[in-house]
Amino acid sequence: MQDDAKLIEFIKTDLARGKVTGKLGANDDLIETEILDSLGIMKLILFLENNYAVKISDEDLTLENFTSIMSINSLIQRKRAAQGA
Amino acid sequence: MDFSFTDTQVLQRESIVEFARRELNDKVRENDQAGGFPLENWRKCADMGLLSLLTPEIYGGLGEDLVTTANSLEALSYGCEDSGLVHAIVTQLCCIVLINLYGSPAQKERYLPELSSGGMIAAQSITEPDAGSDVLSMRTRIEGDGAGWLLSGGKVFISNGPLADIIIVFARCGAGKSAFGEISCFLVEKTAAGYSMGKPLQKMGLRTLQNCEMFFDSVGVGEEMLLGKNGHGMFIFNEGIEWERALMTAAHLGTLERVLGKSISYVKTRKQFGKEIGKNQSLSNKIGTMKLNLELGKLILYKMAWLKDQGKRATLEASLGKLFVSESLKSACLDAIQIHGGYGYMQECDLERDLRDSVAATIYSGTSEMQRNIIARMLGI
Ligand SMILES: Cc1cc2nc3c(=O)[nH]c(=O)nc-3n(C[C@H](O)[C@H](O)[C@H](O)COP(=O)(O)OP(=O)(O)OC[C@H]3O[C@@H](n4cnc5c(N)ncnc54)[C@H](O)[C@@H]3O)c2cc1C
Repeated sequence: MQDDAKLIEFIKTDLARGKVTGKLGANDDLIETEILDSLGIMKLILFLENNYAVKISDEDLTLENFTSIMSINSLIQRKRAAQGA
Repeated sequence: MDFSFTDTQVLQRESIVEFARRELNDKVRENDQAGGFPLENWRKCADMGLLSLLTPEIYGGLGEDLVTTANSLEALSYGCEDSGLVHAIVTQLCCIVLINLYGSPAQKERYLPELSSGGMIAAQSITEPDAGSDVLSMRTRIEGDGAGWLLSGGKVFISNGPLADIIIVFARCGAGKSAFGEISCFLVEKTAAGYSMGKPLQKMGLRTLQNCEMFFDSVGVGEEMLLGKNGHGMFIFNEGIEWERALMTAAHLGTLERVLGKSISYVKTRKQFGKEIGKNQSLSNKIGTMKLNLELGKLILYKMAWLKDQGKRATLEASLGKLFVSESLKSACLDAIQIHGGYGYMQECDLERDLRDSVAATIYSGTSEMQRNIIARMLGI
């Protein structure tokens, strides 16, 4: 839950930059809403690697893994489980 | 923290500077005026191993890291006065990096040895007439399924384009407006049916570098020519551009150091009012600024090179370095002309060519304005 809050805060302040006025839902589409663009994804990957001790590889870079907060979260969980964290 | 280069890196630098001065500076002014590609010098650089720096040893390369490669490129552009040739070499290295990072074993086997020996020339085809800074809004399309795609569209300003045997082409594979999953990257050989190019473009500077428009008229592309995964073009672009900015920055720093050296020699020998002109602070200050920018540029260059060698991302550092060093180089060339007075303005001094060449550095690989935008974005603004 705390992880969720940190991620949402980052997406709202650093990535959305005014594009989200109300609540950001776990299933809101980050790509359709243009919250996540080509530079935003680089920032997000850096954020995830630095804050969740995971290494995002080329294999992880699929649309499905980044469409929503929910999908990003499950990517982190999967990576952590695989890394034995 | 260790700021020193290894003995091997120091020797490598010395031998590249010596090689470049001895072999590459013969007809730089004439070649600039004629605008042709110095193929013989390209071959010499290949024989010197400069095209194979980043190629793994199993593909016939030297398998160097980015720190060593940056050091070598700095040395090359310090010794070699033909910035167009250096740019062509950097473009080739960028293509080698992409094929090495994302290519299939078959693609690596087919292209890396040939590219590293200079037998094949490569180009990266990304910019379009309506998609420059906003490059991911590209319209060149790739349609079809895994059984076979058709590539259609046009690109512009492509370095090495007129000579390229193999072209790395970025194209839109989806119908959405985002670049996410919608851009793919392909290899196209020059013999592919439907591929054609425009005449070499006439440029302000970097005239030995060959640039052209490219046209893809339903070019058939098989799955074996897909570079990386389908729809992964944006990530490939993001990674490639970090390498490109590091390599270009290394080359720009070498030129900056050469311009600095030339300016120091001149102010120490030219006398006016009975004293060396360098005794005037208005000139020595310009030189101080060049030296300051050179040293700061090296710090950011080697930080980004080190980050990439650690397998880390260097988006911010690559933009900081590219912006700072390209702008510093342009200012240094202008200042150097001022320091050289009327002589600096003459073609025989060669500084006017360095200035013309340097202007492009603030445009390609993302303009200075775009680097500032990226830096702001990376800072959460
Ligand atoms: C010598 C040379 C070699 C090149 N080699 C290659 C190559 O090998 N492959 C390739 O694909 N491309 C290549 N290019 C193309 C190069 O990458 C583009 O020229 C560059 O990205 C800028 O695009 P543009 O020319 O369309 O300018 P535009 O994008 O039209 O920009 C025009 C001006 O508007 C400014 N601007 C645009 N958007 C913004 C913004 N959001 N905020 C602030 N300012 C903005 C720009 O900074 C610039 O000052 C080369 C260019 C040159 C000059």
